[in-house]
Amino acid sequence: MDTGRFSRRRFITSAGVTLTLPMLPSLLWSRRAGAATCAPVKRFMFYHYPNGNYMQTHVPTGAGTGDSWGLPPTMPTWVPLKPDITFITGLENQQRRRQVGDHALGAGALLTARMPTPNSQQMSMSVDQAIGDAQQGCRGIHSLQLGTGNGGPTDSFGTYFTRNISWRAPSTANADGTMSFPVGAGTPLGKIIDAQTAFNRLFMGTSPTVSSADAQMRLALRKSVLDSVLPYQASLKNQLNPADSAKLDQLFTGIRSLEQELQSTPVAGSCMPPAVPGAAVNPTDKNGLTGVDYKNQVDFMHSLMGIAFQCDITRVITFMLSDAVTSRNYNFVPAVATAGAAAGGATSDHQSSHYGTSATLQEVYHQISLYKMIWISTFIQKMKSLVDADGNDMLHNIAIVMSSEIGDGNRHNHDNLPTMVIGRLGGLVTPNRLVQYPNATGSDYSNVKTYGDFYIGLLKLYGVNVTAFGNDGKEALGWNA
Amino acid sequence: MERVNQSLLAGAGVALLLAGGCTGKIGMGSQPASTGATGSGTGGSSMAAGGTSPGAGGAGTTPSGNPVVTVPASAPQSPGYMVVRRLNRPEYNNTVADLLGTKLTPADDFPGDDLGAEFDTVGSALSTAPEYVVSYESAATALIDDLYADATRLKNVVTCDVTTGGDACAQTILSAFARRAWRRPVTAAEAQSLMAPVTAAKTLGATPVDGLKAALTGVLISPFFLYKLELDPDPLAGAVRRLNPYELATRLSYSLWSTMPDATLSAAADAGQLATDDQVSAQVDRMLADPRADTLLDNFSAKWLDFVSLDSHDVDTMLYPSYTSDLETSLKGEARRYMQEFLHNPLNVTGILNSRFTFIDANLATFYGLPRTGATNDTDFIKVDTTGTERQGLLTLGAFLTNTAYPNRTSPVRRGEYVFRRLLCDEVPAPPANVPPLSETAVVGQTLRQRMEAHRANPACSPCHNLMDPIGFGLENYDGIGAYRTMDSGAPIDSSGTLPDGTTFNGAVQLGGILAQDPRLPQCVTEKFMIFAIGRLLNQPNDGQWVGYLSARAQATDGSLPSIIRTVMLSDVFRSRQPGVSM
Repeated sequence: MDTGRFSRRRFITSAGVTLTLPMLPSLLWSRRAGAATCAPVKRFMFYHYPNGNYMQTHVPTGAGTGDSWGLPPTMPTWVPLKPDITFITGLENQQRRRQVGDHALGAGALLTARMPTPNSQQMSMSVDQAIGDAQQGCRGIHSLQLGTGNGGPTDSFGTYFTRNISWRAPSTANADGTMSFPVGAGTPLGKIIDAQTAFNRLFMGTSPTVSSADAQMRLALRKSVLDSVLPYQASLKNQLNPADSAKLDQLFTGIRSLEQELQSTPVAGSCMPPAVPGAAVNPTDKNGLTGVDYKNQVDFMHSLMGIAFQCDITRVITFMLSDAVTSRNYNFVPAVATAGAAAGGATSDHQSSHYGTSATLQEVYHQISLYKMIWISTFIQKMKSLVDADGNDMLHNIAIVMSSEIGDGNRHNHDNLPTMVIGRLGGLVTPNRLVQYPNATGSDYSNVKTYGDFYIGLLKLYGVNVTAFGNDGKEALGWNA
Repeated sequence: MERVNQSLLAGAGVALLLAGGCTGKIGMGSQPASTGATGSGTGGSSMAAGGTSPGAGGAGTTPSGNPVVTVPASAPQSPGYMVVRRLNRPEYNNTVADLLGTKLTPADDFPGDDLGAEFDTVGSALSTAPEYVVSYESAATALIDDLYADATRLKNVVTCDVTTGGDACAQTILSAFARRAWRRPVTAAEAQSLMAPVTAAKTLGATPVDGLKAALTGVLISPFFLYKLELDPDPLAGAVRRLNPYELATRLSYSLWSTMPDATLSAAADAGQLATDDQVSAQVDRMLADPRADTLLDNFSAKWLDFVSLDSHDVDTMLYPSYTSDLETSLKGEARRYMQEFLHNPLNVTGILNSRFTFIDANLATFYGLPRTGATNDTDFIKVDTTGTERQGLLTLGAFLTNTAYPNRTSPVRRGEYVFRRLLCDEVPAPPANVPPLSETAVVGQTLRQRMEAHRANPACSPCHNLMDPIGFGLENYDGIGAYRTMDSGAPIDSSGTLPDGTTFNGAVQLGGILAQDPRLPQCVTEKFMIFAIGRLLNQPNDGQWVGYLSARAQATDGSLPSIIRTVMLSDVFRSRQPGVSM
């Protein structure tokens, strides 16, 4: 059993992307003495997939719970996972504010329920960050933002909307115990898209094991360096206008966040990390990833996230399968290649999502959408197969929200967004249910429930009480049970 | 119909947008009126005021956010408001290379830099997520470890023995290092605070070397290193002021070389010799003449003209088997060498569209079918005269033609839109809702142009498509990877067209010649360089005047890219700043 610290220079050659199953749960459990105040464990993940849904068939059947409802035909590989799924339809996120730049708009509002402004980083806190803040100090890494590229275009709003879904922004703790998340200077949280960097970040760690005196000394030295920079926040405030001050505040916020991480309970040395990513998952040009390189990258990230949760290195992850508007090529999927051959060779995501009246292009998008669902199910399956410290599977103590930045890929709508919540969140979520909210009637949105409402309910489950969220979240939806 | 990474617009605003947006006429230099019809702020969104967030549709801008260009007799009074810029990834790598002599490129693994317009130098777009800070600390530690592993480089920074020389030695080293890293003299108070880790080391039982290494790391995590700070005496409402020499040196060196000021520029700043026009001019000329100015090709023109996207551009190699990674490398090389010619010679920038030369290696000689003589190696790029051939300028460069295509076919709309957006700084509004797309299946006997006939036939489509399509159709002789062809799907290609102002043309060469005369072209080049060099979007009230004024002055000399660069850098829009915050 390896209890030593991971050396920064240790390389384990890896034949591929299959990861070893980690150690017995009892060993992990014994290491987490410092986590007593952060029980029960509540994890959160947002899994974003780009360019919308194939709404011809991505519609669940029936109603209600258990056998009364069925998964959409787009999801055959999810059947064994159905008991852990809450499928929600009818939610709206900024449809009534649609303008040029649907992808950026949708991605900007995806976790914030807040309408973005073009060329502006004024934003409000995203739900993953609010959850991470509520668990401050429970785990070393506050939250993680992962993806596979940085190619999202401006789409009339800014690359920080198409390439990013997590936002830090002001927050206020109110006297009545509720939180408020007003609009203010926002920080888009840049993703880690490189497999090696993600691996290093999670498993090479920022803090050493408790037992080494030398390591403790080094840690203290690092802290003294960070401490020496912090006083400049106050002194610079007098010399900077508010806009510049807000930018520099990001640096100091990051320094404090890093210090917090250095102080947190170290990761157990007995947690078995995945094998170091081999060259197959580490091509130099991440934005140029196509074909099997892209597949390897995503498969690796899936494995890495599963183990990161299992090792309890972080409890909050957001993942972008690809940036909004991506033109990722799916010709590495045989069914897509076949459909593409009939459609003049078109096999890329965004191009095929706009199929209009073209039956052949529609079939390409159909196959790509099917593949995305299969692919994501492999991640959920992985989580289900991993064992948590308390002996449950890894879906037991988590809620994974899954959605895209637009509804129907062809129509670019932002209403009736098919949204899945996977997991049981320690019993707070009773899955195997279809929850259907009403759509708008014409331009009458009075009965429509929004992502803002959805997030109010979600945040409550994580112990964060808000009475408003985003533009128009105003009531807690009781979708969870 | 074609999608150009644009989105559908909900019905109501379309007519307004079409009416307001599609009045631009090629060759007449007019800009669409600002209608604000992009709807920023529609629908009661409760955005708080404050902070600099001038969005699209601000005063004096088109719906796309481009300034409405006018040509005043004298320069505007205010240089406009800035938002502080942090070092981007290439700047970070270049800076640490110059500062430490390292071969490490730690910024390659930093999170991505967001863009303002096409550039990663825009302060309002750049941000510093907590993940970035983790990367900064890790990079700084690795860089100092790397420095200590090389005795020769170490001597340049660690100029005394801290074990025997104690605090005095450490202070000397740190002050000198910070002077260089922070790009300005260090105050006594700052020098003192640099010593904190050295002091901490003593109580922690660490060695003096450990303490010094930690302190050196701290220099690289400081905001004075990571940001191009410009501090105003009155940050809220002071008068327009000239930048101090250190601030100007930082702007000059990052704009021209994407790195920190070199010893010469730094010394000029120290000696107060960056004040007069002659002094600034001398430095700009020196730096432009230096090979290091070629970073402009990678960080300015490759981003402006989107050559960078070629790396991630997907080509269906079943349909285009000659598109290999070697060919892609050659196309990138040609594009870079082509723009290099405009960077180092007194050629009017309009020549970008109608010049009769390019640079080809052996791959491209075959690909383009152009004769190439006098080369020693297959990989040498040799200048060739393209007079009488079907190649003329940017619009026939394989890099441009490939980038603006889909993986499986050409996209006349994307090519037309590129010209509008990147070369004329104009805007083509989004398509109306519910337009059916083009069938992706080729029709035997019908060219793509013929299949897109609905663009012209349908009056809802034609106002905007008459702007883009003629340009794209004029380039249809160049396929999805830029190879010349005369047939498409078994039918002969018709590359004639009529531009909205009635000018007719036949083929890419004539088209390029006409577009080269458009007065918006040199203004657009000026605008793009200003965004890149100054590091802000041009969406403030005076910006259209700045673009027009500076462009006219540059055109009055030789209209070349160096002359645009000099004109911008000698002007007050670059050498001054307006304290405060844009409203």
